[in-house]
Amino acid sequence: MSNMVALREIFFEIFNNHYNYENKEDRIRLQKIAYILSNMGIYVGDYSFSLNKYGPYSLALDIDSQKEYADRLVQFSTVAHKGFDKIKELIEARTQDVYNDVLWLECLATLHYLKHISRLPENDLLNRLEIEKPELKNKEENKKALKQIESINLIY
Amino acid sequence: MDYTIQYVDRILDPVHGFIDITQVEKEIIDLPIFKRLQSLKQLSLTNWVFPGAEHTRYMHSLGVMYIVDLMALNLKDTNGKIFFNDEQRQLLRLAGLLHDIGHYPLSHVTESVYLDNLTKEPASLQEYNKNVLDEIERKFDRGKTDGKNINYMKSRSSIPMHHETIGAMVIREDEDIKRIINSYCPFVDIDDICDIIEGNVDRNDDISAMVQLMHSELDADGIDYIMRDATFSGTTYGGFELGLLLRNLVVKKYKGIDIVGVKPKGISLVDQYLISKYFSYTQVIMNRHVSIFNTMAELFTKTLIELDKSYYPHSDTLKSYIRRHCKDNDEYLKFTDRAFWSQLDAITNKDLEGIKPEYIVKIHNNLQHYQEFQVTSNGEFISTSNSREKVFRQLKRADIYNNLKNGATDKIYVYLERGFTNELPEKTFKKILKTVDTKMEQKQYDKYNMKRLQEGVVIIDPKKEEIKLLVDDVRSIMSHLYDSKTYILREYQVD
Repeated sequence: MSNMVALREIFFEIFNNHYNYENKEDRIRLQKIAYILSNMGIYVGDYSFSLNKYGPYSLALDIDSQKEYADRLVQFSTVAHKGFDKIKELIEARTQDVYNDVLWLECLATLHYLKHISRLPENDLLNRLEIEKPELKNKEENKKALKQIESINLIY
Repeated sequence: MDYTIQYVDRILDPVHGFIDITQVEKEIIDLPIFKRLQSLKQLSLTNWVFPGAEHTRYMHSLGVMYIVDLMALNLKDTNGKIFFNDEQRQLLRLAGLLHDIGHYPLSHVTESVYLDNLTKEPASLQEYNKNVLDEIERKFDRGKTDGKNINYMKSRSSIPMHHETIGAMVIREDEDIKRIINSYCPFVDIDDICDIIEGNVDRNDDISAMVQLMHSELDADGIDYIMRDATFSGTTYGGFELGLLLRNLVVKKYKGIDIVGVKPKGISLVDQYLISKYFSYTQVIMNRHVSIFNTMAELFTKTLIELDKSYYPHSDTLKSYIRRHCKDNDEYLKFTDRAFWSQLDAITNKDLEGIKPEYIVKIHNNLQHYQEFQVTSNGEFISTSNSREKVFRQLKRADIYNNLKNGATDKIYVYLERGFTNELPEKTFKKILKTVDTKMEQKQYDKYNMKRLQEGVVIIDPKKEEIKLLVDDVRSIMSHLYDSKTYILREYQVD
């Protein structure tokens, strides 16, 4: 099996911008898209996520993303491209001027984690989100995110 | 009334002798969805090289249940009191029994194909080999900062097609399994079984010790499979002092979490176990013939999933088989080694020519005739060292590496590596964490270190407060061997 680590290339495909490890927001973005892609069945690596300050986080992924490989052409599969398109769609689905893309991704990924990994009951999710992430204050936008995570399904 | 373990039957196992089973286990074992494991070979095509390696996931699952219960029976706290009651033992036994229920045809061969979907399928052998080269260069480049080195207590919950996650899905969806467990063991939380199987220590601290018995460097899964693989392959790499090791198991509350470890007297026993495991991998699993057969089978399995003619299911279809599994919908029962072999014969070269690259057609033809691609003369590089840099320098001087770099079109390359332990000394661990956060708070460090301790083998002296990993204890050989690995690159002629 391929053990390819292509995190920076994945980041570029989605954001059309080069990943900068020194930029905290880029690190958060990468963690959340990797989490969502992984849960859509797209194998970004053998990463394990647990809930951290900015939502689902993988230490191993953070370390792997430090390394930059110059001049490498990665040919992603059709399935991977479908996943990238889905992530772009999810990012577009936010209400502009409520949360920026980073907060929105944190919101989506955290809700997904609370629902599917922590297995919290449906009616506890939004309350727990506010406890875990008090900066996500907009209840309407949180409800919107909760609806959006229903569309995070296996891609094939 | 408290539950007590009561045995109602026994099964004779070639490795452990008689394995006693309770009523709940008997009824689960009788289910077709469990019996499906009888048609999954533990070691894929290894029996083509070691003819006795015919053992199945079925007997391995019984074995893991047996071993995890032995561990539970022997596990004491630092005051010498037995740690688990019968209800907890039953929960553990069920997790051991069901831990591989989601496994794939030819085990990890097929699993790796269902997982490997990030990049495009190589259109030619040259492209395939280029990916191998890329993987080698990046691995040596990353070295100690490889995230894998620090990926402790991996919970596979976020990897939907991992066999553990599939297994958890089977347990949650199968009405018969749930009915049987609820009927005899209403105290068992199905989510706890799934967490133990998936290695999830984040949801419920109360099962931390149980997760470690099934998901660490010294877990029931590894203990059974090295003993079983040795027995059936006819090798001696499964030998170690199990009885003494069990007697030295101990559990201690550390920063609020139960940590399973061994007493200092058990250090040499763990060393012996880890060395046996290393040889089991390098001499059997990574054997030159076994590794090429498995590579060929993996590449052909990828083809099976993609071909319209084959009934190998796509990921979502596989999940739907599990969701609707019952007496009248038994497609999941057919997803066994039999599916691979019947498809291998059903597909002809004509079905592949012009659609799949030539090397795939050759793989198909060879597998149909039980033939492997042969290692070329001088086609093997093996080095064991604690210096990755030194190995990479050696590798770059090897002819086969240069053949690989030059884009050989009639050869296929297989790269493998294996060490003795995944543990890192605390000093190295802290250094790596500093690259992530130079001002990491103690609380955050403790969180990461906890997982490091949960996965590794911890040395617990009942008379002392502090605990440490095996690799941090100078009495252990692993304190010297932790960064030693065997690196293998082989070149095979594609005929």
